[in-house]
Amino acid sequence: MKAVELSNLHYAYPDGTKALCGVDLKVNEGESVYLVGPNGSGKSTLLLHLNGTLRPQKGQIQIFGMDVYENLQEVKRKVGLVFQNPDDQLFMPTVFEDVAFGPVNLKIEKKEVERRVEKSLEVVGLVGFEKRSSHHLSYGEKKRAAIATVLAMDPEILVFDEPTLALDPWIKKNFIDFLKKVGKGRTIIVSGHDLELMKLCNQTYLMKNGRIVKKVRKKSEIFKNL
Amino acid sequence: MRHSYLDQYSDLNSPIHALDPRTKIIALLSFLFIVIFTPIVQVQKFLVYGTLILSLVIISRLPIKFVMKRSLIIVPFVGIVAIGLPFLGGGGGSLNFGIFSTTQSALLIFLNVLVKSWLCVLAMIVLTSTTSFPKLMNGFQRLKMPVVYVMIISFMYRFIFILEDELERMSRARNARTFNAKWSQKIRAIGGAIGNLFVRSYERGERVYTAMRSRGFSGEIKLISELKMGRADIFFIATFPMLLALILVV
Repeated sequence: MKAVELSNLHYAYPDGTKALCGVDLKVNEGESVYLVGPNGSGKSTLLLHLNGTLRPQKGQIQIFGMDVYENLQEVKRKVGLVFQNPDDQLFMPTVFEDVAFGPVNLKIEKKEVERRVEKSLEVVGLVGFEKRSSHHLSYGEKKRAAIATVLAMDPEILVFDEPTLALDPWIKKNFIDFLKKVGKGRTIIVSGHDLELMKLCNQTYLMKNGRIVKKVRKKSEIFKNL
Repeated sequence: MRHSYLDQYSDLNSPIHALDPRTKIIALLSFLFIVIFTPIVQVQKFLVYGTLILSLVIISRLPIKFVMKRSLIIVPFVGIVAIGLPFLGGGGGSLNFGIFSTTQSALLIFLNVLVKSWLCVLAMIVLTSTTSFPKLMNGFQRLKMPVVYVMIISFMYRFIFILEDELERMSRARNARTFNAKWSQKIRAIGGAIGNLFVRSYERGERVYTAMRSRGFSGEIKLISELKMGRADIFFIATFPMLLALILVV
């Protein structure tokens, strides 16, 4: 079964900006896909459709064969979205409460919530940070905590919006390996314009002006056609 | 950037720090009520309240200088009352301090505001400085404060520092482009900054809400809390309000 299937997706923002103009994309289960493209090419808008945050004006989205808008809660559990800015994703007083926020909303019982928080923090390497407030974390730690909040939902599809944005090369070096580890056994969709992220994914697609223009195999190919 | 966190000394180790936030909140509230309802003419009682709160500061190992500096927050409020003093009537004969003259009863009103607000603020500083902010919120929540308020205050405390950073970046960018600006120009720039900050926080609110929705938030707020009352709490909660009541009655 296809994990994600988008056909002829169109979206324009209320101010008239056309962000998506007919996107087609199929992602197999367990596959990892990198959407690369210049700023304003519609990557973030596309990702916000994957869990039903935005509703397309035209076109179809299916997650594991389900229509997104008829199964919103289920889709939100299956698709974990990691946003660009970790400060938008960490809003609770402590790291523990932030990571627990999703599972608690899924009405999971307390013991299991605690287990999931513990496990997610272990995966991202933030054990012992439970009681810390997120505004006391460094930027790299915030990024990791934001990923933990999504992992605690146990999603089958992980979506990262520009995960390496504003990371210095020293953190970034380990971060890509870290993303690999986190995404193991899951379907991954990543957006960005960091060419090193191509290493993370099996497929790379070039986005431009709200469309997926072509499949990219080598880094140099992205400059043709632009 | 340096922020003045409300709970910067909350990781010290003292008997007061170890108390359950609920105990401290109840003790604070009873202290506030009793101080406010004590007539200002009973000077000895206020001395006792002062000693009480000062001993709490000492037991909690908070730096005295920090506590005193923070308590200056009452100055603007008391200042406003002070401005009104010459216009207050009342009996008790008039007093002259150089060019400044007032009546005895007006001075009493001033002292009432000054002493009570200072004592109350000191008590609040002891509470907020010895309790980490998340614990404090947890305490309020367990004391049945509506969860919406708890969330609003938590969000405010979470994002106020980010806004502060944004404001600082904006004013730095402005200063980099303005030399010898006139007063009127500066005011206009500040007005623009306020508007800008409002729009930015509004947009951030939208993004945070999107993040909440993405993790299954459907309007119902659920929180997990881990608080336990210990023996010290029971002792404190039994003795402190009683002590206060005793002072009030005697």
